[in-house]
Amino acid sequence: MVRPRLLRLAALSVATVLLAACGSGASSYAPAGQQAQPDGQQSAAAPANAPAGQKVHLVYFNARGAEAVERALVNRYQQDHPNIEIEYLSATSLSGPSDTDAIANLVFNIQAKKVVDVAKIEVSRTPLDLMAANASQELSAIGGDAVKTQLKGLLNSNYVDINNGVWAIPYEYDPFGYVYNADLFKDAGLNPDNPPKSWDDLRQANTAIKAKNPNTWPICMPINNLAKTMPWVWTSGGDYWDKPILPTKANFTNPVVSDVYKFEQEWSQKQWRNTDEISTSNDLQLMISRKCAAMAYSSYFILALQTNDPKTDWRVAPIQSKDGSGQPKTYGGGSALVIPTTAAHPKEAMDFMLWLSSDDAQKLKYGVTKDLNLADQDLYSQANPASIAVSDQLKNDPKWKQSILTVPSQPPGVSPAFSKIYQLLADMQERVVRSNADVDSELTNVQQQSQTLLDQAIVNYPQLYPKS
Amino acid sequence: MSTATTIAVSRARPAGRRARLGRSLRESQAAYLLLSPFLLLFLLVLAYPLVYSLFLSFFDATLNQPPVFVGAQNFVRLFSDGEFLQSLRNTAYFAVFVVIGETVLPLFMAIAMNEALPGRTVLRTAFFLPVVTSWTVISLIWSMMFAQQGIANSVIQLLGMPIQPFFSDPNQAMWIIIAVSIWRNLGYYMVIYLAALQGVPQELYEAASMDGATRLRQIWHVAIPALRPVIYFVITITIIRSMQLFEQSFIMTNGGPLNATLSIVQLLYRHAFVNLEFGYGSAIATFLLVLLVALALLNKRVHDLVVQ
Repeated sequence: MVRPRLLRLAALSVATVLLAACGSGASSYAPAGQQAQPDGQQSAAAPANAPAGQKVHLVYFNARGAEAVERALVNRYQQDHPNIEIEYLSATSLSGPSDTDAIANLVFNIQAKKVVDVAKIEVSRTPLDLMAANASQELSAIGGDAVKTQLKGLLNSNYVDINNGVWAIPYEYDPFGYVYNADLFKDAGLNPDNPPKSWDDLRQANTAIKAKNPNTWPICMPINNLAKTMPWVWTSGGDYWDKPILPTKANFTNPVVSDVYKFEQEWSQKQWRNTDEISTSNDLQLMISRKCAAMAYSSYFILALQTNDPKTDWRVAPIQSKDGSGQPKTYGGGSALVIPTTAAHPKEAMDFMLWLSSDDAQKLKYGVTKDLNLADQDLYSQANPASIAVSDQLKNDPKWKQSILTVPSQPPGVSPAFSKIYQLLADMQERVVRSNADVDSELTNVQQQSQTLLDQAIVNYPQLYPKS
Repeated sequence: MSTATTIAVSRARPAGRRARLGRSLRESQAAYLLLSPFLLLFLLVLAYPLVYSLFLSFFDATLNQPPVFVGAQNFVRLFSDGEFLQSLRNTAYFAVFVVIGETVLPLFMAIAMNEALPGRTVLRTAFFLPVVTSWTVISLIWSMMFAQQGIANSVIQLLGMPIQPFFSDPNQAMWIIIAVSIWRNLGYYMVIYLAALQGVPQELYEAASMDGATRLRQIWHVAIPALRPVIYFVITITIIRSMQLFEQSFIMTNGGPLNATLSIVQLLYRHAFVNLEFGYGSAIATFLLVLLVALALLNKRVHDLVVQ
């Protein structure tokens, strides 16, 4: 008789403890993950200021890494603003090819109406994805003229100004360039102070490097990747679309786009380029081991190369144009800050974002002002500053000067169909490079598929495509 | 009299059943209480998402938009989607070799480890170590080993053979993923077999030995038949696990080269989390669920036939 009773008591205790544990964690403020107010009311109806004596609680969701730096900045902001407390959330990315899962985590939080006041996201496609889904707020409606004024001092501002509204504030800048090993250039009899500017220059450099080092790939570039190819097209005066944001027409069969893919195919045919796919898990190894002499890649990659192999002379130059003339352009990756529709305190969130992207905060973030005591490793793992003034200042810093690539960025034709079209073009590029597929027929085929996706987007998102 | 008794009995029967049910529930209260944390989590993180995913697979659903009912359109799209068909072929190819490898090799290892070998404990630990190492770590290490300038090619060069493309070659890339998957799980299934082998009564071996059976014959005629239910279990689990291929290919090849290692789950991930096509992603998940249930039932049917 005693045993069943004891068993019941034990079971009840276990269940009670577990349920209590599930419900614990309550604090004096409304925790992140609390339910936002019903649709359409959350931010507008939320009180802009907390009652007297109570701190304003902001939720900052980081879906784009640089953990240590972000935490230090959050602490500094709280120190300087005693009435604000910031709950810092970060979504850990899988060790994989992208941070897609971190962004998906944010997306699900917004979908579930969880409170997120500020989110740090990927800059090129995500602001438009969130905007199209009514998941983020137009910023000048919250911050007024201060937002547009701030944008003037930031790189990548052309990425976030969509349909005359500002949908994000650029925060980190990640331009792509021609990252090269100057020592290998010298060994091959090339002048590293005069890196290739035209495709013919690049052909000559590749030939010389290959002759001197038969086991080295003179030029490496990710294979299943559109972002690294786009600057080759833009720098030679071409484009894939009728306009860089919310395009309505795909135009892949124009001569410049065709020539770029044929040029890439030539690298493969002449065994100049990598056959291994390049990712963050092998990029350093490929460069430091001299398997790659150069890489079309993020310019801030230089910082990691310098740290891991300080004896080698690492440099970066703009991507080559077909004839060596014209204004180089690049794909400006990096991050941006947004205010999701589930923000509880949009005005305070705006103030925090304006501070994060200000010159003062960017100086702290990039170690120009040393107050945060950040380790070099943390400073060098977050792309370049979005602040033009701080970038200019870092150009004179011996450690940073190679990383700061002053090439304007171009929006890559973002639209609600961008992710799918990106994959179509990346897969096509892989076929061109690996299987020697016919470039023109591939481009015709992918253009047709992409146009169908664009047409669907225009029908599905009429609010994004005004009739005029 | 007889009729009245029958009516009385038939009326009493439901009442008795209710009483028995009530008593049974009272007696099993403690058990249900102990199970409640699991059941709660099961409902929250498995049952609800499963049902919701089934529901979504009939809708065109994306972020912050009301889902639009599209009937079976997502399922129709599956069979005209070249990427899906390729991922299905890749996954099936992977599963066939992994199921064979993970069923047969650990069985041999368990039989060997069941013998009184010197250093047996060290070997058992060594075989089990990959199981407790995360897929991410293993995948990254194998990626480095089989990179073009990795250790595998260094060894190949030392042996005077030509450098291999490994992850750049669609056939070789899949075989590396198959190899790493089998290697990683060998220890896990070996332990399952080993536990079952140790449950085989010693008397059966002794009787076979007295009948003049060699050690090999004892294994074939005594151990293997005794392991049949465990082999069935291992096959079922390996089918399910191999059809869920994701981490290895995601980290080592990202589905490449030329989509040669793209799995069904990775395609699902792409559609659901990159393209935010929750409806189509759910349709892929539903297809996978149906496929797994069908394969498990088929496996059971084959097992039943073999036993008969």
